[in-house]
Amino acid sequence: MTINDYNFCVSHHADHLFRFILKHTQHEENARDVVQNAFEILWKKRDEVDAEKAKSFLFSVAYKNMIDQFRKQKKVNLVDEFPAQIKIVNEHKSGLKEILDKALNTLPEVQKLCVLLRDYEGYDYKEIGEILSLNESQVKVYIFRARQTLKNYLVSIETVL
Amino acid sequence: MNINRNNYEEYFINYMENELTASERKAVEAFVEANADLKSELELFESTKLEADNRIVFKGKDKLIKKEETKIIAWKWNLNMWSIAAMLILAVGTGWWMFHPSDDTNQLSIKSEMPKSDSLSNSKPEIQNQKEERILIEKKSIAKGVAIKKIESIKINEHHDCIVQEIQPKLDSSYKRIIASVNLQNAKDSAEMIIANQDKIENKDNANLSDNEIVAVANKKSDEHILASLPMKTNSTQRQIIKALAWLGGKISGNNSNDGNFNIDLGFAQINHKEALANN
Repeated sequence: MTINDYNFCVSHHADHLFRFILKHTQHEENARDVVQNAFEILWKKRDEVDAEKAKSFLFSVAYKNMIDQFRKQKKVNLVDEFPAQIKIVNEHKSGLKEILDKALNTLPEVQKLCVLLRDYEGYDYKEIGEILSLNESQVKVYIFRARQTLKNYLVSIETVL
Repeated sequence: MNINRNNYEEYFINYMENELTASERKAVEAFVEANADLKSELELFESTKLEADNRIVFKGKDKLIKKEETKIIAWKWNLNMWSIAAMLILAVGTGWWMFHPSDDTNQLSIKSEMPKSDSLSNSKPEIQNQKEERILIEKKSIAKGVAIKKIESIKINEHHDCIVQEIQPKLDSSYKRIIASVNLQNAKDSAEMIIANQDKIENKDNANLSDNEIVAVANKKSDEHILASLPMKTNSTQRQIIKALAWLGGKISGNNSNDGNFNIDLGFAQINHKEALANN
């Protein structure tokens, strides 16, 4: 990729990458470090990375970097787990977006990642699999489970309301 | 496999995920029409689609942006050029500073180096120093190249200008007496002989030193007894002039007959004896 391709990535993907990472880290500085690190790696490997694959490369690098950070902090569990018991406290004051944000945080990390890449970035299952080092079927299953969980969360909210 | 109440969730999810074919989508829509109680559930699944918060932006993109490589190369090139230019300026400046003092300094130094008329006779060390300095400067000039040599030439000429200012009045009034009375072939050589023997000369009463005494002293060092025919006494002023001529490398040339048509070549000035006499 050329320097212009790289700069295009900065202009068009940095915000997306930052939002994606921030959703997981919940820590702005950590998310910023991960994004910067991803772009540094992209710049170093710009001769090897095709411009069309640059965005996926960024997300993949950022994801791995984030996982490394989480592992160091022992806050991540990549094994798919059933969601923790949903606790609903005064959710009726929140809008749908806020409810979904809270529901999202109840998801296992890998499901959360899949859903975010799917909804935020519009990646297909194959692309998500490439970024997260999963096969397409796994991605499909994780997203299926994530949708069920999120829907059930909303159902629970409606029940409370 | 067709959609039914046991598998509808998968179809609903694939529907909202837009993973169904057109016919499958129609099948789902028909199923929902037939099962109205599940319509809200489909809507809930569709509600699970997340939307990014566009208000969240990465602050610092400008730090990640890379400049055009051509500009970087140009900057590096300019940097090199500036470095070279700075070195050249430094070198020239240093050379100028070493070999070309400012005009004010030059004037002062020349004036201090040129003693007043009464003390000129005691100026041998200063004259020698000046000559040595000039030779040293010229050697350095050759080493430093033509440009600096030109600068030094200017400097020497400036010395000459100062010297002229210092001795010109005396030269105008006295040189004719020397030139007219001596059979000089080379005033420089004769003056140098005098200077070389100045210690002996200075030990005597300069004012009363006879011509023959001067010539005798001079002849001790050289057969070039160009002052041999001095018919008159050389006073201190005349000797100063001779010293100055020697210092300046002045030469007297031309006809030395009685018509007094001599030329004094001081390098920086040509003085015709006859014309000078006429002016006087």
